[in-house]
Amino acid sequence: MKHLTNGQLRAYLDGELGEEQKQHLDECRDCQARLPVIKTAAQRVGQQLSFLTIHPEGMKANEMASRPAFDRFKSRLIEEKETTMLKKLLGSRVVWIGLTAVIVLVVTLSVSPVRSFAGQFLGLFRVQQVSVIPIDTTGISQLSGNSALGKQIGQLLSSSVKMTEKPGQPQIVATAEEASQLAGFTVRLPGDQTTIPQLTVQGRTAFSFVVDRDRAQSLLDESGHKDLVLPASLNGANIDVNIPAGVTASYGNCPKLDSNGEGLSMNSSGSPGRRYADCVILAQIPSPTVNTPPDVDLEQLAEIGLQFTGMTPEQAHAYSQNVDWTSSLVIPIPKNAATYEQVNVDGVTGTLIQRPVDDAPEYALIWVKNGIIYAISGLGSDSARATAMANAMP
Amino acid sequence: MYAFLLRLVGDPAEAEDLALETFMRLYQRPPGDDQPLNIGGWLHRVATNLGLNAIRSLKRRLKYELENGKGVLQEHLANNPAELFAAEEEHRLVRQILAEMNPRQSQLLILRHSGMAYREIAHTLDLSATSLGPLLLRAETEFERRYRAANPEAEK
Repeated sequence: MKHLTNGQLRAYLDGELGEEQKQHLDECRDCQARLPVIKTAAQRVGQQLSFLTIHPEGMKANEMASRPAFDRFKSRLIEEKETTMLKKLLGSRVVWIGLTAVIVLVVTLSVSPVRSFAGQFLGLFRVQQVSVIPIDTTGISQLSGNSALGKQIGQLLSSSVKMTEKPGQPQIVATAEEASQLAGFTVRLPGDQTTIPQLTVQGRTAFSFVVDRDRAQSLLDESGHKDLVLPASLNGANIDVNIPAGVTASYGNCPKLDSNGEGLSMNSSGSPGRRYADCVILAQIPSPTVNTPPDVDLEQLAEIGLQFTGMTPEQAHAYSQNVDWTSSLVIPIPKNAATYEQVNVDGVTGTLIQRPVDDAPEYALIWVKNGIIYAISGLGSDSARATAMANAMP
Repeated sequence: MYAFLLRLVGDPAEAEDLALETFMRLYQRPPGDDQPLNIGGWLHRVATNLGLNAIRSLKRRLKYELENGKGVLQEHLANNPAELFAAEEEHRLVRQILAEMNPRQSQLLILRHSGMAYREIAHTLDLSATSLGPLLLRAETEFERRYRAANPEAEK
């Protein structure tokens, strides 16, 4: 048999040499003589790299330490899913200011159906109008990103939300008729546009969640709102949310609503304001519905939700009185970063939200007509285009 | 994965970030269907690459050096700070060398010295197990050469 190579001798030191070669080594003085030099070098390197070794006794501490990483992973997944779903819903970046807004929105949506009729039936929520709450994001900014609280909210949502109908991949269709057929309602497109939009249909989504009152309360406590007390009756309440199929029409060069579900990518390189300056997205979707049990005092919850977003109890009460919680889509916008106004479009009153950021201004025009929510959003400050489009709807 | 990365980069926050990133990549761009059973290997490969990149990145390196030095001193002030600091300096040098070497070679060294058997390494790096002895020897020789060049007083 041939003598062993130095490489084979190195493998021998790791106990990784084949039987045949081992036997040769046992008998061959030449090979044995070359071994010590290789062994010393290997030991030296082994010593220098020994801090890389994972010791079994250290694993327990590591498992503990790896929990936060895993939790962050989970919450980032949830964050992606949640923002994606809601971003797609209206296709507007300005409305969904990240996870924070999404959470507030989910909370508000779920607490919106305040009055149950005669306390007999399930409270049923349908959007007939849009209300805007200016929220003070400084108070809840700690919820976003990777803070422990954000993580906990993510966990709370992930453990209590059950998707009953997944939205599936968005489908691209050629005509408004096709979109109407697929989505199950009549899709309207403005008649004055010179370009043909790309039409995308996003399937129905339905999910339900069971409220874990104690966990939600501990989140409130930890967020510095010990004064806000959730009613005990909330515990175990089952809330069903149905989001019908929606249609988006993209005009101009728009960021792709790609199949990976990344939605409108907010962190792609370059200034989106410049790259997608001519992009306008018109989204339309029949009102989502939310069902809640009748014995939950949701008016109270709405006020808690409003106080959570930074209102005083008095403001929250006054605001709550002015909103018909059974029919308002409540959109939280950051107080100092966005403005809103009421405008007359498409024969109804709509809400125009603008975010006048220097390098990337955005706008969104939202209105509700015949049970369908419409939103036109774009990058840039040319919100007149949105109102013109809305008024050109057939 | 976190334990593995913590040893490689030496900084808990960084290791946590990188572990997160590794799994996010698995989620966003999972390996092809041609190797469905090798998720562990894929993760280790991605994690090693990310770890080496992180060490290479000057900005991060400065940051972790600062935090590392501080953390070590705070934790072990009562023990023997000089000795511990020297050990940490030594680790820093070794990490730097690993980051500068041919990535295939440093991957091999890292995986072997983190305690993986040849079969696992071969699986992870898509090599044959019998080629590992020679490759490892070559990688170690290269490592020593760089180590001596960076550290002339080290014993020969």
